[in-house]
Amino acid sequence: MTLRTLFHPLKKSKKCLFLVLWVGLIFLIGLYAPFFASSKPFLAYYEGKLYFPLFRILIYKNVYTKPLDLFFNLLMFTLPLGVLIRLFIKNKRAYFFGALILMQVGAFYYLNTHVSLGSHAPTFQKIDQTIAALEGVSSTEILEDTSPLQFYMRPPITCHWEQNALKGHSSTSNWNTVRINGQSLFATLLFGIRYSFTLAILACALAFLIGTLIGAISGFLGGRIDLLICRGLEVWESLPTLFVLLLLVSITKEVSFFFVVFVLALFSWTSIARVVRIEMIKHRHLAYVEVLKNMGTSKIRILFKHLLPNCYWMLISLMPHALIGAITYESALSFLGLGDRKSCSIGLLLDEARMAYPMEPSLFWPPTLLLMVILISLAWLGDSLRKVSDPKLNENPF
Amino acid sequence: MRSYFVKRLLLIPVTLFLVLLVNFILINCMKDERLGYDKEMQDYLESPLNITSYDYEFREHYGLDLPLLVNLWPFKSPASIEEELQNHSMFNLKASFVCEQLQSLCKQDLENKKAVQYLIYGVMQKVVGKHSFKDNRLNSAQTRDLLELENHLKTPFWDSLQIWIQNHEDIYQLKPSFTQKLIFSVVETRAFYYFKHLIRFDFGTLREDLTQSVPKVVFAHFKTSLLLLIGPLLLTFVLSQLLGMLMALHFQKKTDFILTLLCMVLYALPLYVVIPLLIEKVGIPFGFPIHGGLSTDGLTFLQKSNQTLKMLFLPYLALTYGALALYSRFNKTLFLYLFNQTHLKVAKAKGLSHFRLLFVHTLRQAFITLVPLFLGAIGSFLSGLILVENLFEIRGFGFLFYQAMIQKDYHVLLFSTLFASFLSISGYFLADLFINKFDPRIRFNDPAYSLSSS
Repeated sequence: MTLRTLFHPLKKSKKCLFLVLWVGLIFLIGLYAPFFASSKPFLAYYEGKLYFPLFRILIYKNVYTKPLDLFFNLLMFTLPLGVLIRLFIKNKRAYFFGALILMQVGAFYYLNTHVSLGSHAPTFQKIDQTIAALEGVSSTEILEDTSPLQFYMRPPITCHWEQNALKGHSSTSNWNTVRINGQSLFATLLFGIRYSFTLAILACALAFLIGTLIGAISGFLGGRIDLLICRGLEVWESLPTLFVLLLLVSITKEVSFFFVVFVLALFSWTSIARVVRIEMIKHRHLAYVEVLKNMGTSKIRILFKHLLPNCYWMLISLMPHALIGAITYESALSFLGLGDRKSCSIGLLLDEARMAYPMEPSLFWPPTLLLMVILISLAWLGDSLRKVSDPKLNENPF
Repeated sequence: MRSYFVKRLLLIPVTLFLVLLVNFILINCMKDERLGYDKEMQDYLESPLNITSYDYEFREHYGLDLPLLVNLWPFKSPASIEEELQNHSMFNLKASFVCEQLQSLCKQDLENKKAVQYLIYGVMQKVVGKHSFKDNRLNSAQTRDLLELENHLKTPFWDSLQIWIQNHEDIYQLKPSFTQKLIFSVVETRAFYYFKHLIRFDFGTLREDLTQSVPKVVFAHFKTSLLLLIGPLLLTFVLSQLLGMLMALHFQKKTDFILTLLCMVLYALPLYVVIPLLIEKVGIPFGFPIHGGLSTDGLTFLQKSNQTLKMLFLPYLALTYGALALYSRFNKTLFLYLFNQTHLKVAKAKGLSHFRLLFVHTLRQAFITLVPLFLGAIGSFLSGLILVENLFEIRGFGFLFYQAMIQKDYHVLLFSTLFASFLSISGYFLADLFINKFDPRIRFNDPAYSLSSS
């Protein structure tokens, strides 16, 4: 089963395709967040030379302190490259993709260890000071001469989310709502899309991996192993999820990104395991499996090559709902004050907004609306995917 | 048939035990500075009279200073103990289990101040030597020796301490045999202590108040939550069927479209977004009480019920809407399936009234699917309580759990999770009983089938 046949049903429903593109657009906004919120200008014509400070600073570890941000900043350039390869290269595409992935990972490790802005740092600082002087923001050094800077272009939000937005920031911008800790709200929100999506996708991928493997083994082998795994599933399911989630997170004082991913995955694989298991049981004794067995095909090959593809589409239609679950649980954890306090999670913003709610509605609405848009579009996507996968749902009974 | 349910019933304690074990390990991974040996040990060495503090007793009683599952201390070599002492982590060990190694360390080198101090600490605690076994009584001479030691500690003369150590070997002499060590390694662990208490139905006491037992407190809080658990469950059960039926009847018409859209939006809205909105837009303008539990003292019945209704309105709304959206969508597909059944078409052709068709023929069949579903959903409704009770400040089960988690109240945490999983497991069990009783198609004789249905 190739990727193309997997996504074939998508073409049947235009609504589905549209929703996939819509969710993709939200993700792209998150991916290209530095273009919407950054402290440096896109380009600056300074002393007769053209500079691109924003592109320079994207890979600078001292500004983007989170590894996740650095990774995504690299992905901003590798993703278009990947699309180009997909479009224009016909032969041996896999090698190019492999090289691209290796490049991404290698560059990420290199950037994580080596930090340097090169010889441009003083120039960038001068450009910043000149812009500050031009926009009338009081800074420590007041530059009289602003003539070297002839032209510049800035993103709509003129500060990076990890920096203090109150310092050296022009008050004329419409996007300068400031959080309690002084960071820009909208910049944090844009980067929060990255955070939420990555976390949810990683957690779901891990959960689907665990769930599919355990479900497949249990359903395919049957017998005593099945019984044992089922009892285990029962025990795991009867753990009260939110209770144990809270417990697990409260154990570790420093909650990291991958810890949250792991914890979320740990508590969402059971339903997937059940779905896969029942599908396996349905197909286990069908004729084609018997034929394969008689032909001497190995059990592993039967399982992964012939049985598992039956539930791929079902798993894909479950994916949006699993993503909703992951995003909701993550925000709930952050909301209860148990997430990563220094992250840009939307739940964290909501928690801050709740504390200041009646007084500061401007802090409350943006994260709420963003979360609602993400979750509703995912729910809609899940619904329409299910409709496509299950044509019975479209029959009119009367 | 009966044997299957007896088996299921017997499996409940096993499942509960496993749940408890998982939670126990999780909770005990929690770092708690109040349980560490460090501070008190230092205090003790500075002022020997300051032995009994509240935390110390709590810790001793529940064995919280012991290893989690296996106690390997007696098997350690003197060299590794020496290393531990040098690394200032000696307070991670309990003196009674390493006294043999300590003695050999002291004999090798009487200048080894840490080992001597640690040994004396153990003697003072009456945990080293013969007293660490069952016979706790000392004869008068030994008591006198211990008093002498205490006097030494009050005026710490290092030389005389060493002499005391040399002279009174018989007090702290303890050489456990290999079997004794093995028994130690199992018995002297945190898990064994906890389950030992558990067998006697002693679920521990509150961290702050020794007089209150945990089950009592949890049940008292749960009584408050009961209204918040059963009410929304029933409300969702009834309303979701009505909505689902409406959507199925108007399938692919305007009503269905609007309701489906509404359900989807409600399904996607998380609780913590809705509750501040509810408080701000509904609670304050319409005068609903936002905070507080259910205190209705000195009121007439009418006033009481009025106040209770007002108090419960917002939490009910918050607890119901999500589940309502989810189960309405589920019920829509269910009713669509049921409407297509042949027996219903026959009934319709017979000329039965629309009401009878819907509410007797269809609903009865829908119940078979829905009642087990809702019984199985008790656990997820309980999870919803945590957020709602904390945001509305209702002193119920979820509130207690969250507070206990912040204060690291071990026993409350353990018992709450145990109780919650007991509720959800009994929900599953009742669901299976219900299916067995009322669904003629399903019989639990075939073990393979019963497994796939659970």
